[in-house]
Parts: sequence; structure tokens; C-alpha cells
Amino acid sequence: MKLPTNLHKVSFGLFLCLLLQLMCCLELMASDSPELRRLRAGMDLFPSFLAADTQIRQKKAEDGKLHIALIYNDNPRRAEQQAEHLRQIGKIKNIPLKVQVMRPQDLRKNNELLAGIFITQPHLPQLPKVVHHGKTHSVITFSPFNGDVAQGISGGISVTARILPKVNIPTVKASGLRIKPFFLRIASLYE
Amino acid sequence: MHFPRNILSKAKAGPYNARLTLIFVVLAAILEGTLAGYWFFILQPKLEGEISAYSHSLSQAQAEVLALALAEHHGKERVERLSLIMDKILLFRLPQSDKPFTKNISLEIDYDAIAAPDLQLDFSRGEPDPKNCLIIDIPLYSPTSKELLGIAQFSNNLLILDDLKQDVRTKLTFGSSLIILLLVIVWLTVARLSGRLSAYASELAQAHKTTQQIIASLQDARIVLDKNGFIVEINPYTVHILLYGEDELLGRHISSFMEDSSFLKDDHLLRFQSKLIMDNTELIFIARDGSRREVMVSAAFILSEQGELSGIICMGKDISALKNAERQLEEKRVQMEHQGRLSALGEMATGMAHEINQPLYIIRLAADCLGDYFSFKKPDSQEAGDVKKILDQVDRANTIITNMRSFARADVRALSGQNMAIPINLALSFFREQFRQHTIELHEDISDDLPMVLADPQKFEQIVVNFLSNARYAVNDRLLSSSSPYTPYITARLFREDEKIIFTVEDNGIGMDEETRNRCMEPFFTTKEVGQGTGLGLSIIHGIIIEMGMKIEIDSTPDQGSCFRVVMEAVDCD
Repeated sequence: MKLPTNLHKVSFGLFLCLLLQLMCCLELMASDSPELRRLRAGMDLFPSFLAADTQIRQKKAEDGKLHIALIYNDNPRRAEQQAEHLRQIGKIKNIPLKVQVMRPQDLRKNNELLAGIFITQPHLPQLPKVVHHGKTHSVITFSPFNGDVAQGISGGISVTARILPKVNIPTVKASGLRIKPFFLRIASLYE
Repeated sequence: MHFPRNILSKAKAGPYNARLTLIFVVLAAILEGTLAGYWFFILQPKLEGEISAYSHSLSQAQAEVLALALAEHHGKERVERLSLIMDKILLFRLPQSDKPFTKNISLEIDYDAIAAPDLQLDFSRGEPDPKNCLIIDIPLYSPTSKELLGIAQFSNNLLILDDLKQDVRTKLTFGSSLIILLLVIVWLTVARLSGRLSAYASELAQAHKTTQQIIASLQDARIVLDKNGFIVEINPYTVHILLYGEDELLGRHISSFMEDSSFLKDDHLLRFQSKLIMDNTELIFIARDGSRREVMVSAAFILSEQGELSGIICMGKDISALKNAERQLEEKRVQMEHQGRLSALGEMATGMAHEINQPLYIIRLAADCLGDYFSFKKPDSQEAGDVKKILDQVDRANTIITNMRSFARADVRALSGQNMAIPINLALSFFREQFRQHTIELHEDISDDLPMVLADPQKFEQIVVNFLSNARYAVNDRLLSSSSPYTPYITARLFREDEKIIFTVEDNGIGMDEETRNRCMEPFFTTKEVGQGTGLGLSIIHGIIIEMGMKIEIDSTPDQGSCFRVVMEAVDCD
């Protein structure tokens, strides 16, 4: 009767291996999705957007850092990965960064002065709230995902044969932001 | 034969080459217009977009190196490094034309992001103020802080776009020329075929016209029916026969014009349809004026590809005149047969008259002697009267024999004005006693003051005798067959009716049915028992009446009686 018991163990082991492999494959597939690519490209451009804010120095928090919020809906792990990337940059205009990962509803609780908000997940249900927060607190909001700029986010990316920053001029004006004309020259403007 | 009318009408309209040419010209213009539109609105913008994307991609790749040099080097070394990289980029050549890919590169630095003296890094390399270039601004980001350091402006040579456009345009022009050439070949082929088709159609139209003329000139009726028997086509002769207008005939069912349409019934049609043809069949059509038209019809059945009956073509020859001629010929034949019999009868009568004349002559001679004797001895005696009667009857017999001989010889005597009451009364005198003895009432209404009539009195007496004899037979026959009380009578009348003199003999005998009445004038036709009649009486009478220019009318009803009526023309003998 030992043989069947061993056979069960082997089968269970094989099943676990297959499950593990399947999860890895899914992870790989997810890491290579167009949205993830936009997320990475957006994260690469986000610091230049922050640096283009002529009022960035006034947005230092009490701790002397620029507080950046990365917003997620249900995938904090991905937001954390992008936060790590931003932490590696460390400074904008020689001002140290403090990167936080949070959900949209946490924006209201957080009373600290924010220099920028970065959306890490597409189709964020609370996007209007984020837009509203950006406008009322004069904070740069940035989303690399398609369509979010049109919904009021102040910055994003324009992907054609090249990747350019995209600026929502009405939102920027409504938020009281001041972006360098130099930056606006190379940006794709949404009006 | 049916020809598609549109083909024939087009054949009359002439060749279509001009129209065909116009169609092909319009087709070629549409094609060229489409190609031009495709080039200007789709292909050229697409090429420009692709070349722009290509230029952007290349410039973007080179800009990364510039951004790295900008971020990692400082001072004079940075300027040197940037110049070197820009010179390298300016060396790139287009593969086919050996022209520079980038004509000019300019840097514009954000000195807020880079620690350098103002304008130290804002310089350009390459052809100053280049023409025919695609200007591309590439942002230069710091590889470490990701901050926008400046903008590199690439003036990329548009020759590659021009070359590409020229190449595509050449291919497009060649392709469109090839298509135009094919169109021209197709047009020439179609025009040639159209010419042939037009010629065939013209010949077909001419043949159709000739056929129509032949059909129109046919002295035969030609009727085309659909599968249900409705008229769809006729020729002029059909109109001539039936006397209806073409519009009145077309669309109507053929049975509307036929006396008997049984030939159109399914069983008949199926029988003929199995042979696909109906041989000469005599059918009777009714013309518009109500006259009967006897037509010899032959028909051919038109079958569809599925083998179903789709129509009938009928050819008919009007044989009414032929049939009338046949009937007249038959009448003449009967008359000649009658004449032959009468001739034979005349020969017999002549022989008989000769044989009877001899004894009559002797009787008369003897009676004359007896008459002389009794007129001398006993002039008022009964014997003298009897002898006179013998002499009268011998004279009468002699007259009859003479009449028979003259009738047989068709001897036509000259007619003279006669008071018809005389021969009628003479004939009636023979029958009065007979009728009395047979209890037949004889009613006489003979007017003796009527105008004269051209007649032979002896022959007319023969007519009256024949009528009275037949009337006697008729009433006797009814008397014998009647079970109810019956009083036979015979009425003889002579009277005037307008300008006509009418003589009638009426009886209440057995009468005649229609067939007997129609045939009673025929020679040797008789309803009497064998041996009782020869069937010649009325036939001879009829001949006499016609000979004297009179008319005979017969009115008869079975078991009620008959009335023979002779109509005579009154003459003015003054």
C-alpha cells in the first residue's frame, strides 16, 4: 500500500510545479503587457514633468522633501515597484523625493503637501477624485494610461513613433500649475 | 417565331460604338481619378507619415547619445563631445543617393537644468539654413534625473521621401498605364464584337422583317396561342377571315371565336401534343358578322426547355368557299341524278303513252260513234250523257298522257295569262265526289275574279291534283290511326294577298316532321308504304312551280296537318 501513497505525493508535487510554472508564465505575460510598457515609459517621463513645474521648489513638504504619491486600485505590488524606481532617482532639482504608495481614498486622509501624483493602474474608478484633488491642491497629476489625460489628468504620455510628454492645458490652468515653456515646446498638448 | 423586340430595336438604332467608347472613356477617367485620389489623399500622406516616423526613430536613437554626453560631461569637454557626436550623425548617408541623411543638428539647452554658461551649448552643426528638410525636435532627458535638459533639432533630408514618392509614383503610373492599356484592348475587342453583334442583329432584323412580310402576305390565317389558349399573335389574314380588329382578337381566348372548342380540351391537346403537331383538322370559327368560317387548321406545339407546353402555333386555311362549292356540287349531282331518273321516267312515260294512246284512240272512236248514234236516236237519254262522260274522260286521259310526255321531254310551253280559278276548279271537280264518299269535308274558297297569272293551266291543274291527292292520303292515314273522334277536312283557297295571288291546300291530316318537310321535295322520297307511292309527285310539282316562276311554301305540324302554299305573281294582261 506504500506505492499508491508515494504516487500521490509525486502527483501532488508535479501539480504544484505546474501551478508554479503557470503563475510564472502569467507574471511574465503581465510584465510584457502594453499597459505595463506604458507604465514604465510614463514613470521615465514623470520626473521631467515634475522638473518642468516652475513652482516645484515651493512644493517641498515640512521635511524638505518632495512628496510623491503613487496611486493604485488593487495592485499595490506594481505601485511599489514603480515607487522603487522613483526612489532610485532620488532627487528632482536636487530636492529629495519621498515616494508613497496609496489608494485614492487615502489622498483625503493625507494632509501632507504633495508635489505629484502618479497613477499606476488603468481604469481607476476614483480617477475623478484624483483629478479634483490635483486641481484643488495645485498638484501635478500624471497617468501614463490612454484616455486618462482626456478625463482631466494634467500629464501623460503621447505614444506615436516616439514617446512625448502630454500636457492637459485646461487642467494645468485650472490647477494653477506653471510649466516651463521649454517643456511645452516638446510636449504634445491636449486642449 | 418570336424575336426579342429589344434586340431588334437596338439593331435598328445602329452601332453602339460611340456609346461604348464613351463608357470606356468614363471608366478610364474614373480609374485614373481613383488612382490620383488614392495617391494624393492616402498613399502620399502615408508615405510622408512613414518617412517622418522613420526619421523620428533614427533621430531619437541619436539623441540618446547626445543626452548622455550632455549629462555626463562638463565644461569644454562636453562641448567637444557633443560636436563629435553631431559630426558623426551628419556623416550618415542615404543608401542610394549618397546624400546626407541629416543636414543640420541644433541644440537648445535648458540652462536651468544644466550648470553651464548661457548659450555655451546652444550651437548647431552641418549645413546652415538647410532646404527641403524635415525638422524634428527631440527632447534630451537626463539619464539619471530624467529631467529635460534640452532639445536637439534635427533637419533631416527629405530626399529619401522624394525618392520613395518618385519610386511609388513611377510604379503607380506604370500600373495605371497598364490598366489603361488593358482597358483599351478590352474596348477594342468589345467594339469589334459589338460590331459583329450589330451586324448579326441587323441581319436578324432583316430576316425577321422578311419573315413578317411573308407571314403577312400568306393567304392562311396564322394564330399564336399561349399555353392556356389565349391569342398572343395573329397575321392580317386572320383579321380578314374573322372580321375582328387585331386589338379585339389579341388577348382573347381562341374558344371565343370557335363554334366548338372541344379540340382545346386537355385530352385532345395531350393526344396531339405527343406528336408535337396537329395535322389538318376542320374547325368552325364564327366571324364577327355571325357567319361560320370553316377553317382547315394545322398546329405545332411549342415546348419549353422543361418539356412543358408553352404555346401553340396554328395555321389555318379558310375552306368555307371550298365547302360551299362542294355543297353546291352535291346539290347539282343530286339534281343531275334526278334529271337522269326523270329522263328515264320520260322514256318510260313516252312508251306507256304510245301504248295507252292506241286503246284510247279506239275507245274515243267507238265513243264518238256511240255519241253520234245516241245524239241522233236519243239525244236526251242517259246513254247519250254517259257517252259524253266517256269522251271527256278519254280527252282527260289523253291530256294527262300528253303532259307526261311533255314533262319527260322537259317541254316548256309558252306561259300565258290565266285565271287560276279555272284549272283549280277543274282539278277540284275530280275530287269532290271522292271526298264526299270518304266523308272528307272539302272547303272551297276560290275567287274567280282575281288578276291573271302567267301559267300553263294544265300543269297547274296537275299541281292542284297532286296537292289534293296528298291531302286525301294524309287525312285518310290519320283517320285510320286516330282513336279519338276525328273529322277530316281539306280546304282549297285562292285569294289575293297584296300583289300576290295565293293558292293554298290545307288539311288536318298526319302532318310532317321537320326532316320530312325538308326532304319532301326530293325525288323518290316518300313516307308511303312500298307500292303506294313513287316519291316523284312533289318533286315533279316542285319542278313545275319553279318552271313557271312561282314559289312553294310548306307549313306542317305532325298530327295537326299541312298547308301547301303556292305564291304567284299577278300580271296585267292589258
